[in-house]
Amino acid sequence: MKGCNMRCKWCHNPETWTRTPQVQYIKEKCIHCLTCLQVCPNGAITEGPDSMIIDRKKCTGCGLCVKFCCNNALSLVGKEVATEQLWVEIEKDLPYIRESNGGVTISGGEPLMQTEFVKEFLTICKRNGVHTAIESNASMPWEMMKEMLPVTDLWLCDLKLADNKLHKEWTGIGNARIIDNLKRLTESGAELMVRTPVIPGVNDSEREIEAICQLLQPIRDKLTYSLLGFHTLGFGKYESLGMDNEMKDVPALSREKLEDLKKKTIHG
Amino acid sequence: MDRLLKDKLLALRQKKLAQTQEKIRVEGLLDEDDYGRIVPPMGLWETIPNHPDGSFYGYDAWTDNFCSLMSVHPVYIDPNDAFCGRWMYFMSKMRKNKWNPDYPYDFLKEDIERYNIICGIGEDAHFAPDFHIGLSLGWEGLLKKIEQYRQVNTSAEQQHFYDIHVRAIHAVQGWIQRHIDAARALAKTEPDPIRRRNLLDMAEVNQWVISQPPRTLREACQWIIWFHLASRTYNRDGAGGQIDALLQSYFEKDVKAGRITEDEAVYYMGCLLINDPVYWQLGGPDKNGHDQTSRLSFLILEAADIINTSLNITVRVWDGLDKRLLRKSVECLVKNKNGWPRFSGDKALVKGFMKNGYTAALARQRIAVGCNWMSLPGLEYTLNDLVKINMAKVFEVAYQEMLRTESACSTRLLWELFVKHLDKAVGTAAAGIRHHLKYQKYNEPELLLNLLSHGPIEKGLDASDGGAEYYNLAIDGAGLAIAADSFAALEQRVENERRLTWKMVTESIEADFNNRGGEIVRNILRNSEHYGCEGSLGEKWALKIRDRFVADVRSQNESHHVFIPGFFSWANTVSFGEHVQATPNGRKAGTPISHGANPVPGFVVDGASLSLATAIAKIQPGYGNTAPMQWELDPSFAMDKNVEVIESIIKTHMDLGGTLINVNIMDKETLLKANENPSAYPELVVRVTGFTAYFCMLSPSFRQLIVDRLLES
Repeated sequence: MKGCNMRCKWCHNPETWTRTPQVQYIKEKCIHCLTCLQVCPNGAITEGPDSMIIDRKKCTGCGLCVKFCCNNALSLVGKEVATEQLWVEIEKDLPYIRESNGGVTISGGEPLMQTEFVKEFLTICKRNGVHTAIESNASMPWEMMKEMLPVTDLWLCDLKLADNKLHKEWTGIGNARIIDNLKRLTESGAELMVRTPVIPGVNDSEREIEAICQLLQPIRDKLTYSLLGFHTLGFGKYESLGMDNEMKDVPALSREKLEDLKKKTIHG
Repeated sequence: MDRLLKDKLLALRQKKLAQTQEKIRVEGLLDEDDYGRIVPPMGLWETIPNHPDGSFYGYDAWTDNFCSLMSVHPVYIDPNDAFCGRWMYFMSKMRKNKWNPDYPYDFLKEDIERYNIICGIGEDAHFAPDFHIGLSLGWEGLLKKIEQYRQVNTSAEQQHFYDIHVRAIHAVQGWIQRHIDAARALAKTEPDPIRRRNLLDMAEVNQWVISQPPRTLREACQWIIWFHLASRTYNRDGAGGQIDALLQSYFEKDVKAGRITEDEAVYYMGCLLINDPVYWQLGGPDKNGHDQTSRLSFLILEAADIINTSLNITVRVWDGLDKRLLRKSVECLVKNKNGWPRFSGDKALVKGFMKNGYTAALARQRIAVGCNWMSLPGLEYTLNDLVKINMAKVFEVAYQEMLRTESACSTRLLWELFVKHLDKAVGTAAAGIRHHLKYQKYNEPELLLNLLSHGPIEKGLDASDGGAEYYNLAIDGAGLAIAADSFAALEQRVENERRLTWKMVTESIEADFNNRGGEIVRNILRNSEHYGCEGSLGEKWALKIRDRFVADVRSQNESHHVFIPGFFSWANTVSFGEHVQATPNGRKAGTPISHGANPVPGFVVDGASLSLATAIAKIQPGYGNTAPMQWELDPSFAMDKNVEVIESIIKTHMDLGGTLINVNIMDKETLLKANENPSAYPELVVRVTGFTAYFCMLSPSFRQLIVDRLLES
């Protein structure tokens, strides 16, 4: 789902921040035919020395350049779909989902910024016997999360930092509501997986992980908890979307560091 | 496993790697299966021609050559091995010509060339023996069977037929005797007591199986090895059988009698598998619908896991398959990443074969014993994997004719012409098969496979000449995606979007996209709707081509000849592509065509595995021959934690109608490095198409084909 109320500086899916479609440009695929430049109604595309340049202030995401790109160097990230349309896509893979005891996970961005759609879609999934999961930052008002409970089998939520102020500094919002929502989820009986993305220079210390685990201690028996190591696979997206990557010089978290920190978590 | 036995297997494995390197060094590269054969001594044996053209043809010449070769064929004994014998000569390939010119097919040549058909005339083997016959009779029993039917079929030709088979059996027995003598001689001077014992046991085993039907697991394996060494030498026949069922009773009796331990059984299986990568099947239903998985099935996998060489083991996926066997086989695939095992899909295969008018009981007996093919052991003659129609070429012929007509170009007209030429191509292929069947006995009899078939000895007729019980003749289409995507690109970009014109496309493909603006045209065409994406124009055209092809092939059926369609290109993607100019799907002139039933690489951005599995399940011709899915799995996905998911994809593909899955799991970096310096990666095995080969043994163009396929997928 497109749209997110957080702006985590390490986000691997920056294309999900805004709710509107965005043009993605992969310069390695560009053959410099200049067709995109010619068709853009807003003059947003110019030719650079080794690639095309998109002025994101002028670009409206109309997608005309994408339509005429002959080598898929341009693509439009984000489109409007109806729940039934999305279900038709899922149905194509239904045999595999059933055979593997899999399901559908709604992720983003923050799915609960589009609760009506999400609820309607997950209701279709449940009606067809498909396991459902929501990957949410758990920062939305509880009433919105509560509405999803009857159609959600599994919640996947992150707790990134223990300190509220630091949380706001790194993600754009504080963590008080998140912690409260996690508790409410466990009280509701929902199946909950909490993860902490471990980011070098941000929370990759034993002290920070222990502090997060301390917050989860009262509900430790009602959730599973894991650490996710920071990687750089999403870096290319920033460039292709014309977005600034604040973590561009940060290396991936080493496997050894991740294994060491795992020993400090609530489930050891 | 017992350390000593495991060390022996590992020593045999190392030796095989060294023998592979020697083959490359002495004989050069080979774009075919890995074989168990080893380099023969120089100048030991030459073919004996019987025709002015320098080749040899017919019953007597084949028998003379085979017997002559057997009489001098070197002995091979390795004290680490449970079995003796290795094959060395590709006798059938040593001929100057493979078709007797006294039976020309000039009336077909024009169309064969026009459509770039691989006609199969003069090809051999590619049907399954029934090892039960040999295991129950032994060599003397086969001689007695011949004698019995000699009294029944008394024509001069039939008597001659029996004579040559007797000669062939005696020749094999002579070869075996020399091994017995050599094993005993080696034992006399072997200082190590364990190796000496093994040599004496080897002699004893062979002293029995030289004439009698086997009694034990070791004897049964050795019998099987002798037959397939002889059959391989004769004409490269590599068809095996349902190995677990074949050997189960011997294994059970041995264990019950305390003759062997399970570790010894694993050792024997490992030695059998290293001897030659014959095509074996595990699991699956018997004719009564009962699963044939047994303890031995798992021990065979265990042996395969230890040796991990090039292996052609297929696990037969069906609803009643022991789930543990499927899980174990997927674990082996993921762990070893060496392209084995493969997986066949019983549901579609049985149901499809029954549509030819056969019973379920018969259909269940058809097993995967070749690159892409199924065969009823000992019952059918098929020309499996030997007759192929280059659909990309047929498309090209149709396109060129369209340009010559006065009518305006259109996909409707192009389709009409494609149909006309496809009909002609299939008709030509079928005519070629009929010509082959009529004259093959004067070219090359099936001297060895006749012995393990039901019918040839009973009737006194070669398997190609009416001796077989059934004639289920295979015609495969190749390059389906090229044709389908070309139609789709034209419909989408020229007719629907009007982004291109017929003139632009024609000029560009005639210039191989090197004309002004050609690269842009090419990219527009390349990025059109592909076969492989559900609901796409490419899929629409692929299904349309499939339906026509199936109808064409089936229309060739006659009283006792059933023609069965499939999609498979074997190793011909490069050579087929060399005959085809640039195509409207954006393919450059002379470049390889698409592989079998697979969409072109890069056909979808996300979800390739599931899209591939769905698309190929959907495109199946549906009459019991396969359209395999060639699956290139990323090593980052093919890990232990994803075994269950991989298994689910395999099962779902079969449930949706799939028939055969060939899997490669190759690391991109390793493959690129191996392509630059193949000899630095002597153990790297790839499943090229249905067959496995050592990567270092393939030619540069073939290696590049695999690299391109991996990179683009």
